Amino acid sequence: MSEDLSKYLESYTPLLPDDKGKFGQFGGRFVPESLVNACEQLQIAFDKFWSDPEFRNEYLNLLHSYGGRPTPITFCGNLSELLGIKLYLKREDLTHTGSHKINNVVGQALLAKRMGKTHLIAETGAGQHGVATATAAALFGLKCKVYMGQVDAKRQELNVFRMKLLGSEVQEVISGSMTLKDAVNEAMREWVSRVDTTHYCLGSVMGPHPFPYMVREFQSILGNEAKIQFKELTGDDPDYVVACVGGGSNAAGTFAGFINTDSKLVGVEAAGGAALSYGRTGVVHGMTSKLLQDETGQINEAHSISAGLDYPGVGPEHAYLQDIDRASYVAANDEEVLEAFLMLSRMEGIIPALESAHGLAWIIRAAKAGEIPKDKTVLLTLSGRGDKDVQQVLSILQLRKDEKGNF
Amino acid sequence: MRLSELTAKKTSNQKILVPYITAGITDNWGDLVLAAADGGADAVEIGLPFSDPMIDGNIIQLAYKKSLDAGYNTQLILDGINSLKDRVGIPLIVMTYYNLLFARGLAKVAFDLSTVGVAGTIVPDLTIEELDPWSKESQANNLDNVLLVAPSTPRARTAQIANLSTGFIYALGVMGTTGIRDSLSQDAIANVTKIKELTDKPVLIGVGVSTPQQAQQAVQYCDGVIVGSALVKLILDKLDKPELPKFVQSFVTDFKTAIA
Repeated sequence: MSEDLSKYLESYTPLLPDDKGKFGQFGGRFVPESLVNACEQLQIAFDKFWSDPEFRNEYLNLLHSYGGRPTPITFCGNLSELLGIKLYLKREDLTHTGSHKINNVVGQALLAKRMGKTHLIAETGAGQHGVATATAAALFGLKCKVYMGQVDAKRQELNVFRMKLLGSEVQEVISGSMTLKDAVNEAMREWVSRVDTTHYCLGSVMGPHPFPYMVREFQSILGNEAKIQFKELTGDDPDYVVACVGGGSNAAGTFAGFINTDSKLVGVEAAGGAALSYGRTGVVHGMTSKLLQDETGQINEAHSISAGLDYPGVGPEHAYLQDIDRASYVAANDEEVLEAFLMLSRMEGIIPALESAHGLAWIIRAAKAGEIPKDKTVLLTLSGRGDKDVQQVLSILQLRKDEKGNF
Repeated sequence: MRLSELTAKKTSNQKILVPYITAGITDNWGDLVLAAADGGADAVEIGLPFSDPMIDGNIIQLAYKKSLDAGYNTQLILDGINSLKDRVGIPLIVMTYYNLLFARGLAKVAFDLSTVGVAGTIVPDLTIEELDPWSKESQANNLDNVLLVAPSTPRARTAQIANLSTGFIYALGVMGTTGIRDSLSQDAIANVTKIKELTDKPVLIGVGVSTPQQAQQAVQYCDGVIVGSALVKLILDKLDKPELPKFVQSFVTDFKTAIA
């Protein structure tokens, strides 16, 4: 079976950053002078290849034959009945490697190859982007090194093994808080030193221009597929389009498909990492955005049940969409996320990634409170599958078992 | 005190030495700045610690961590600089990342820096495309604005940066982070050679100048050097020694003698 994915991008009109790489006042390029040339070269290469039909075809063919796209939309009958809404899931959990991350890494690895780079480096928090990058590196015959905070590497031992299995080196980062934000710093530092041979395969819609724009474009297939599929399925656009937000790549890709519709766009952050809900404007990791920081400008750590959302910043495009009121951003706490995780598992037979469960947690809360009115259609991007999280969820649930051992 | 006296030294063919010290690395960091001045420094670069220092290597990261863990923040460091201003006798330059300036407010922090006697700033994550807001405030407060040129910076862009930079031009000696290197890189020499063809302003090599011998070699191609990680490492290694200021002074003197 073969399907040409290009039809999904035919009517896509992207929101473009300005000539400084900014969305409104957010984004830009705040990097040491030693990285400016690398960012410019990357921008030139991306602009060239992204508008090259041959590159696009190769990218989209790989997303189809290797990545498993298009992913389906699933109607959740049982949850819809319970909540009094019509709930649909865009199933990124069904892609190769089990999350939307594959869309981005296939694009960037292909670009790296065209730019003549022989090495990929990447940062990872929970390990999903690291595993995806290692996968793409294996596919394209590129050497790969993934930076991972030592704290995260201990929490996600299996993903460390997966990356090694795929032939990548995993470099534990022991600076700062030893988590995702420090892995980003370390990967940037490495990039400065090895820029001739190495492409930095950044995992989200963050960092200096062109990364936020480029990663969103590589993720835009997600939202553009969803828009066309949803219309075929229901005859209309969704009333609500919901996605979880850490750095914000699955949400950016999802929103890209609906930015020019009347759908309400809702991004759901982790309460302990809610840069858009609680942060202030600042500059870190090469961009201006909303950041969790103290009053003197030191960046705080983020904390949540989901390592994939443990990021103290957020992609600049989201800060802009919030600023212009095109999207709204809310937060979900660990407890309601766990409930959502269990509900989707039990009522629909789909174990979601804890990240994606944030989106569902807000939908459940908002539907019960009448904030989402009865019978409205809601499309949630299920950004990843929950297999990686079952051990963590088990350890939490162990604490509340009844005498028969039931949760 | 602005950095114009460095230009005067350049004009009279004196080589310029700028040691770097992280503020708050130890509680008597102010004494270390004075010791560097006594040792023959022409100016001192004072680092304000940041949680996410993108261009700094292990040694300076550790210095930042010590400072932040000890509770140092922008205000405390400004107070410390204020207590030095009448005693130090040479220009002080503040190096920090943009978010610390942004968080305090550009107008306010430029005024505060000027008030405590700072001569200029180095903000490594501020590119010329984003310079305008800070440039405006630093000019209004009589602060110099030292800009970086990397080995990878193309010639046309180098000319633009050289034109906008005031005080001197900071030539990065390596494509990489701050840290100690075994030898002065060819990149460093090529970088300063490129810059000097385009400007008469003083050009100093920073990052990757780790020994007096390397400094001596460097000043054959440029007007001076900035010594960071090697000095910070010495400080970190001898933090508990009461003679620490003496060590700093003689470290600086060794470099000064080498480039004279």
